[in-house]
Amino acid sequence: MSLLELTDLTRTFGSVAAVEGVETTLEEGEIRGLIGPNGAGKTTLVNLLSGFLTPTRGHIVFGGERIERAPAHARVEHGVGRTFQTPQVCAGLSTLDNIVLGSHRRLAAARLRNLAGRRRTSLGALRREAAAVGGHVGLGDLLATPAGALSYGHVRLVEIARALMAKPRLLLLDEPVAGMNEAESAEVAEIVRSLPAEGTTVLVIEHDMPFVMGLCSRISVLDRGRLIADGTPEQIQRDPHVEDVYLGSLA
Amino acid sequence: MSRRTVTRGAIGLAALAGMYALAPAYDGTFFLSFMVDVLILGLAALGLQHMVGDAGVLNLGQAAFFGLGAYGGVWTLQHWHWTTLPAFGAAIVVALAGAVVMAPLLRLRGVYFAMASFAFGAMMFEVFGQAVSLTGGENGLFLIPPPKIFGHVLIGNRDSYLLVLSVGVVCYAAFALLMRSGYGLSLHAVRQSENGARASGVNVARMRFIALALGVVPPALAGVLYAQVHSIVQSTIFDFNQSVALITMVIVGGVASRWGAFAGALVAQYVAVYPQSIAQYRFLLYGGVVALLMIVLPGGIASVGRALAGARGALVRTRI
Repeated sequence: MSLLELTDLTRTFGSVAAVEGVETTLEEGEIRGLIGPNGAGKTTLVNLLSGFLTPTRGHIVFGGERIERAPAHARVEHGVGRTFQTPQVCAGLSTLDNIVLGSHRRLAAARLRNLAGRRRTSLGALRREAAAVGGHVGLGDLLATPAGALSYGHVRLVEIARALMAKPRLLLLDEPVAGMNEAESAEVAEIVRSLPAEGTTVLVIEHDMPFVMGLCSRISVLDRGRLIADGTPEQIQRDPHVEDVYLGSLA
Repeated sequence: MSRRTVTRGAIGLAALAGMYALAPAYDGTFFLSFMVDVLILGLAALGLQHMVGDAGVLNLGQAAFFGLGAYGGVWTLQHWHWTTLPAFGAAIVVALAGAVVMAPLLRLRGVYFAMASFAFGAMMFEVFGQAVSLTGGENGLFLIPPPKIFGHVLIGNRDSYLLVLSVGVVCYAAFALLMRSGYGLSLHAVRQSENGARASGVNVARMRFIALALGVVPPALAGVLYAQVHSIVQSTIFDFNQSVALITMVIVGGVASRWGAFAGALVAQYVAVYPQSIAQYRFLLYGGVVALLMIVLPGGIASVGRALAGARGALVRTRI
């Protein structure tokens, strides 16, 4: 069974279909790239998958369950994590606290257990775990810094670390290396490459073609809301249709 | 613990000891009665600070919960002869029922919620005024017994002060601890980055409701305390002016600060009570004080330490 199955997934805004009739499947352990020109509907698709938008039509089956009507916070419980194209972190909280927030579900569960008088899963334990995750993505020296004082690239890493704290089965990355230099983006690629081994499947939107081609096992191409191609990086690079709408303009 | 934490803790403890020391020092004076009212209003403002400052829920109908607590508690005091602590429980239940009624309004955001909460407060004021059999209406309920805790009847302004101060300290500590817990972290996230919070699995609607529900508890207790200390409650105490007064206390004290709620209550109550010779210009004076404070200290009274440190830093820099 596939981890994620999309059937006729459609979202319209007024008379404009931002995403129309998208059908695809993601297999467990995949790193899938999602590319397409500006306005193709990539972020809308991520918003549909993460519950920030509900579809006008169609189904999202995740791990065998229909989730298209579940609100955003419930998608996290299902195991869908995400980052944002424009990072959404709490500027006034430290880097560490921002990462701890990703374990919200376990925090809440710990609170309930505390009320029931069972053994305490303390905030301290989650902080230690968050520090380890932060260190893993390269934020080890910045944990005490307020997120509002971080550079753009570091804020993107905070978002990734926060999403990883929830141990997602599917992680949606919306332009994770935008505004990063080559060395930084290579580090992000390294982090993403390590995720499938930890049980996290990845869907990544990115305009940086070398990044996508080098990282992804499969790539889907979206154009004007429709999925126009699906294949390995080699197949996508050779697809004349894709070249027309996208790659050609960048090459 | 950092030096700053230790310093802050020491200042806090000294302030607390000083507050308790006021009781024997000013026993029987008008000043102590004045401080009782400051603390009661500060309690109501403390709950509002949690809603506005911690959760970003701009409630302009907080006086309704002050009233619900007062009437809920007084009913049990007068009809069932309960003592203060069980009456607190009843007050909390009634105020929470009010929070449940207000809950659908939480779908609204920003100024839209503010408007709706204002309307909620106005409706509740109308209910308080009309439900004469329960509230006594504008004439009020009289002969409310004084506070009684564990068999001790607390009469006189020293006892009242110690009771109100202790309730204030407990509520203050409870909110301080809450905001340092995982709940506080999630609530910070809801206010600072709602999208980030949702993407982390935080149920934003639920968090906003919990913050509202917790924020109605201190005003409910304040309602009972007010009624028992003054032995009378009239519906006019819980009108729109009171809601505005409470939000002003929170803003003047510093939206982000718990003790600021009490500082704001002190300023408001001082201006309302003390300048007897210029009584007719009271609101003019208050308006001027509020406007000036907001210009000089946009972070409220609670930010005075930071502002002074900043000013000192600027002086040092200028000298170099």
